[in-house]
Amino acid sequence: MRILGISCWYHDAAACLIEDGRIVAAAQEERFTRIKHDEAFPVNAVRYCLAEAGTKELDAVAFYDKPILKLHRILETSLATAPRGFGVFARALPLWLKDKLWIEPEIRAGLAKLGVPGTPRMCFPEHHFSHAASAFFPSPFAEAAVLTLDGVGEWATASIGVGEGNQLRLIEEQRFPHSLGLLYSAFTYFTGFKVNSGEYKLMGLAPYGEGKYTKVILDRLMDLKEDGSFRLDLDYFGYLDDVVMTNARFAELFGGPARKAEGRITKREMDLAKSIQEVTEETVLRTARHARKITGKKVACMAGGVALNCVANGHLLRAGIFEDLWIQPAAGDAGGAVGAAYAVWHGLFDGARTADGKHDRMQGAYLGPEFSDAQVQSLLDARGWPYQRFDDDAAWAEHLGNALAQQKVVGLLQGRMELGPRSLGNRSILGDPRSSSMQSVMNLKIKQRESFRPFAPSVLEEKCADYFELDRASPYMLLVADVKKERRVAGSEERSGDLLEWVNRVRSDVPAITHVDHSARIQTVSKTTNPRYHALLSAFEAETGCGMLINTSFNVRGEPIVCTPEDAYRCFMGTEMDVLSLGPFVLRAEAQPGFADRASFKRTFAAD
Amino acid sequence: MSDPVVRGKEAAAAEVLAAPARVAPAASRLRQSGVLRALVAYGFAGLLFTFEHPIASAVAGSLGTLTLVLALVSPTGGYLRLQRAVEKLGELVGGLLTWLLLAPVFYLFLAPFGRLARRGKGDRLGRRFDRAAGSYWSVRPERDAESTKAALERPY
Repeated sequence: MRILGISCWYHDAAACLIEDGRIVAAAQEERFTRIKHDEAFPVNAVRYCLAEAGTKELDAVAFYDKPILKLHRILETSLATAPRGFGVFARALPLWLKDKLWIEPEIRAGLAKLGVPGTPRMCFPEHHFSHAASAFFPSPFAEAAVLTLDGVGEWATASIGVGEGNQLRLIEEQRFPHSLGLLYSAFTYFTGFKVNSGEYKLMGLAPYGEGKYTKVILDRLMDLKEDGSFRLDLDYFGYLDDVVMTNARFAELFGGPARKAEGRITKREMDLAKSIQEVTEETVLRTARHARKITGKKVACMAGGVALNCVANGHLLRAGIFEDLWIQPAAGDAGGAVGAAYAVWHGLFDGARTADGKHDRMQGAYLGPEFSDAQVQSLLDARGWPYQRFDDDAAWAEHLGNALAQQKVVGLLQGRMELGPRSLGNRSILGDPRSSSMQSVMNLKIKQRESFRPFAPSVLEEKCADYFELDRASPYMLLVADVKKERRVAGSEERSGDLLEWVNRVRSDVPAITHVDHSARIQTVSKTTNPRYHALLSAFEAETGCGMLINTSFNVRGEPIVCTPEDAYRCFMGTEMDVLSLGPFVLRAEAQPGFADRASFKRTFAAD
Repeated sequence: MSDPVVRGKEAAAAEVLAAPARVAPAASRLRQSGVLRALVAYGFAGLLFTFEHPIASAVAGSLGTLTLVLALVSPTGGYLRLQRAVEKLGELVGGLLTWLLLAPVFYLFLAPFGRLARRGKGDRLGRRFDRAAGSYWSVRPERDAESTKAALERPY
C-alpha cells in the first residue's frame, strides 16, 4: 500500500511517500527548485519520491489540509471585519479562485503529468491533524499526548490530542485569530525579520536581551489562562484586516515603528526577542501541563512551526511535565506531507503500527536523494574539478578531521538529504568549535549572514553528557541545553553594550557553539544512524580531544540547503570554504579552477 | 523484493540530476524566449502597420528589436532584467483589474452582509477577552471510526 503525502500552496511545499507504513522518501520542493520556501505544487519532490519507490502506482494521495475550510475561515474573517480588510480579501480571493479551490483536479493533473496511473483515492486530513499525525505516528511511543502549535491551519491554531497504537484523536483546540505562532511572527515582523523565515533569528537574538516587555505582552496583548489557552487583543495586530502583522498601536506600545529590514539591531529588538521568547515558553509550559492533565499520558509528541522553537522545547523537557518528548524534525508545514500520509495509512486503511519506546520511524530524517560515487565522479570528471578520492572510510574521516583541526571550514555532502530545516551531517558545513573566531568567520565569510547568529554543535552521542546539561539524545537538533558549568569561562555571562564584542567573547572551551547565555542547540550523533558522520566526529576527537563539531546547514543566506553535488560545489566556490567532501571525493578550494560565477552566485539568492 | 529504500536510490538520484527545475534559467533558453517574443512583437507591428497605425507599429517594432538585441547579446543580464520588468508590469495591471472587479463585491455585498451578520451573531471570531472564562480551549466533537474515515476524504 503506497500513499503519497503532499503539502503545498502556502509555504515549504513537500512530498512524502510511505509504503506499508514505512517512509520511502520525503523531500522539500525548495531543494530542487532552489527557491527558498517554495510553495508550488512539489512536482520535483513527487517525481523524486516516485523514483525512489521504483513505481508510479499509488493507492492514495493525502493533501495536508482541508482547503474548503480554509476558504471558509477567510470569508468569515472578511465578513467579521468588512468594510475593513479589503486588501486581505483582494489578495486572497484571486489565489483561491485560481488555484486553491481546485486542489483535487490540480493534484490529479500534476500526478498525471508525472505518469501516475489510475485515480488514487484523494484524502484531506485537517492541517493540525496532519501535524499531530506527523508527531505521533513516526514517534517511538506506543501512546502519548500530542501537542501541535503553529500559525493557523483551517481554524485551529493549536491542538491537544491523544495517540494510542494506530489511533489518534484531537481533543481540544485553540482557534483563529488567537495563535501563538502568529503572535511570534508578529514580533518577527516588528523586529525587521521575514515572517515564516526569520523566526529562528528572533529566537537566536533573544539571549542578548532582557525580558523587559514580557509583562506588557502578557498584560496588554493577551489574556493567557492557566491552561495555556489565550486570546490576543487584536486591536494591536494587523493580520486580521490588513496585509501587515502589526499596526500603529503595537508600535506605540513598544516605543516606535518596526525595525526596517537590514536596519541596525538595537537593544529594543533584543529585549523584544527575549520577551516574546519568555511568553512563548510560558504558554507552551502551561499548555503542556494542561495536556498532561487531560490526556493522562506520561510522554508527549509535538509538531507545528512553534515546535521548532528548540529553546522552548528545552525548557519543556527540563520542566519535567512529561517524562519524555519527541518532536517531529520537520515540524513545520513540510512535515505536514509526512503527517498527511500517515493519517491516511492509519486512519483510512487501519495500517498497523508498532513502537518500541526507543526508535522512531524517521530514519534520522535522512529521507531525500542520495548520489552514488559513480554519479559524483562522473560530474567531477566531466567538469574537470580536481579531487582526491578516499575509498577507505577511516582514511577519509582522518583526512577531514585533520583539516578541521587546522581550522579549515569543510562542506560535507554525503548520503541521503535531510527532511526539515536542519542539516544533520549529510548537507552540512563543519568547523572547529574550539576556535574563538570561528563563529564570526563562518557567519560573515561563509554563511554571509548576521554576525549575532549562533552555531549549533554536532556531538558524539556517547560524549554529550561531557559537554552539555542534557541527559538524553537530541538527534534532530531540536533541544537547547546549557554547556556544562565546568567548561564555562568565569565572568563570561556579563552583558556588554557592544554586540560584536559580546558575540566574540570566549564563554567556554567550545566558544564557537556557546551562545551568550551559555546555551547550545544540540545534535547528538549516533553510530547506528549516521556511521560516517560519527566516524568523522571520532576522527576529530582523536586529533583534538574534542568530540564535537560546529554543524550549520550547507547554504548561504537566502539559499535553500544544497541538494545535489553541483549545488554543493557552487556554494563551496561561491563562499570561502576551504574543503568540500562529496562522499569520498575531497576537493580543496585552492586547487579548483577559477570560479567565474562567484558574484552571480551571491546575487542569486535574496536575503531572507 | 528488495528493500524499498534501496531499490530506486540510484535511479532516483539520476531523476534529480536530470530534472529541469532550477532557479536560474539557462542562457540558451532565455535566448530562445527572447527571439520568440521579438517575433511576436514584429508580427504585432506588421498588423498595426497594415491597419494604418504607423506610430504604434514603430513602437512595437522597436520593442521587438530591443528584446531581440538584449536576448542575443546579454540573455542573463539585460534580457532577464527586461523580462522581469515586463512581468512586474503584468502583475501590476493584473492587480489593478482584480481590485476593480473585487471592490464592488466586497463593498456592495460582503460589507453590508457582514454588518448584518455581526448584528445577529455579535463577535463571530471571539475577538474580545473574556476575563471570567476559565479557558479558551474549544472541545472538539468526538467522532466514531467510520465518520473519521469519511471525513478524511472530504476537502471540508
